[in-house]
Amino acid sequence: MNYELPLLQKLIGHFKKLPGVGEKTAQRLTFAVLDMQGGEVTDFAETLQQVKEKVRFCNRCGNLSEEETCRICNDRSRVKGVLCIVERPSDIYILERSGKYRGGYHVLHGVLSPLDGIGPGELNLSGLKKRVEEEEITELIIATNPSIEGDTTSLFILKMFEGKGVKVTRLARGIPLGSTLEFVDKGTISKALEGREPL
Amino acid sequence: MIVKDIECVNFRNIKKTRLEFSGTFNIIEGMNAQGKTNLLEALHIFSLGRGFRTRKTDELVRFGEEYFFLRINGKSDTKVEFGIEFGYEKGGKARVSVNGNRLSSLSDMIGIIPTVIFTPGDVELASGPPAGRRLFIDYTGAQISPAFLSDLGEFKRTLKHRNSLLRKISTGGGGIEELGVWNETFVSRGAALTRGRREMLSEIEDAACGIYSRIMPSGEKLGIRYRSSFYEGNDTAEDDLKEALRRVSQAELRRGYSLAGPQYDDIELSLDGASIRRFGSQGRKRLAAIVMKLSQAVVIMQRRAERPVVLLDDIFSELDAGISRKVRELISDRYQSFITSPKKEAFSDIPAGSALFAVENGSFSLRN
Repeated sequence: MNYELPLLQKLIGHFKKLPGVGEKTAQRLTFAVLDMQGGEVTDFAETLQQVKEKVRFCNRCGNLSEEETCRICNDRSRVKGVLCIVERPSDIYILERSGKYRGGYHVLHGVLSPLDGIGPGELNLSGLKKRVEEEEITELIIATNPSIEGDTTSLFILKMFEGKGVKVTRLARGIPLGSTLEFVDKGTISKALEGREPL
Repeated sequence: MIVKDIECVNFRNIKKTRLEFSGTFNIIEGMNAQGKTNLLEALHIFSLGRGFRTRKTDELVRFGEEYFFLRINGKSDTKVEFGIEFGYEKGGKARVSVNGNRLSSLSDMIGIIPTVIFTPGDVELASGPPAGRRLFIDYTGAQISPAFLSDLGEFKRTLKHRNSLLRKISTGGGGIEELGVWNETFVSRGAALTRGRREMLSEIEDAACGIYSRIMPSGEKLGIRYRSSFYEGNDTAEDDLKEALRRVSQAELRRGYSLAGPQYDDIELSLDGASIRRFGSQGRKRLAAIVMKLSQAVVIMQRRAERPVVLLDDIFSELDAGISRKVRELISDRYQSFITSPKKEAFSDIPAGSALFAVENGSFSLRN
């Protein structure tokens, strides 16, 4: 005899599709939904729907936005002439948390990866070229991940702007701040050794 | 390094077993297809995170079961005790924990238990195809140096990307505009791997010469040399690889895969300067293979300050009695070893302190 409730199972199934959520967590989330007030549930459901409908990519930088152009692109107080190039919109939030960077962004929506069929045409590179010309960009800071694909993509961008009077830099890699050597993984240590700097 | 005991659940044909090992010789004997090698494979899991007879971990799960579980307890040469658990569910990811701490990546496990494995196929190491010799040096490097392991992984991934791109270009799918940057990545990673392999091999050569002269006191002088397909050691490896790519570029675009790089390199073995592969006798070829493996153990021990565990899968039946005895002496001096054998006679002189296990249909029993 099966005592499972089909609706409940359906919701559990939906939660399980989310990253990092297994059977048990999905059950807990489902029971939490059952415990919500009526209005709260409606709002939750509507928000899910609206997020999907209204959030799109900024037509200038490719960041997530609820308007045609995102808030960072619209912010007049941000430094002009400098763009930080990232793989995906979530990287912007990470860089913004530092509060250190005040220039603009450009999201590639991926990195070069022939194994996945991703070439320059699949990345938001034509948009970048246009922006560099139109917005009189003088420096590009490449913040792709320190992977084979991220490295190769940054080389490609470097070549794109070679001899065009644009300074192209790459984020440094190495030992994270505030951690001791003991807790840094061996790959990072060997990269940090390669990239050591004179004092 | 000493592995004190192992627990296996649903691994290959082993339903459930727990065995305590000797710190010196462990001999596992039984008829064919009873599960001797399965125990070595279980130990090997703790070296590279996978079996040595298959790349598909699903195949390691006992027939009709959904998961396997392995646990070993051991002691390092500095007397630090440790326990490692390895769990795997079919179609899933392996879960590894060291002393109860879950590892975030399987590659963090590589090198924890330094291992030297010798399988029947390895007697061809000195005389067979170059791929076996490349694997030998990569496996040595991976266990010694995290930097080497990361260079190796990055090169392999770059090679796959580049081949995939060349295939696309050769079939008219476009992609020539990004070939240049993939070439640069390929050159930098390929050169790094080649340098790493050359350094590793010069250490192996020193160790191998010593071992060879111990087994063959009045024998020839053994030479081991890294033979790069593009790098002679004069200019930088980067420049040479760039030049090699330039030479094959037209052919690559036609054929659709990489035609130059460390994936074509080899190791050249010689006796008194004469190539073993071309001029050596059958006996010398096998001996050279054994010496390579034993020198791998020495280099791991020197660099890691930790004695590797030696796994010997039914190799003594391939060797003549005199050499077989010398090899056993060299191993018993230093390493904990696990030896499978189809017959007892091969070990008429089992040293004291050894453990002898009999295996029948996946069940093990201690015989002494």
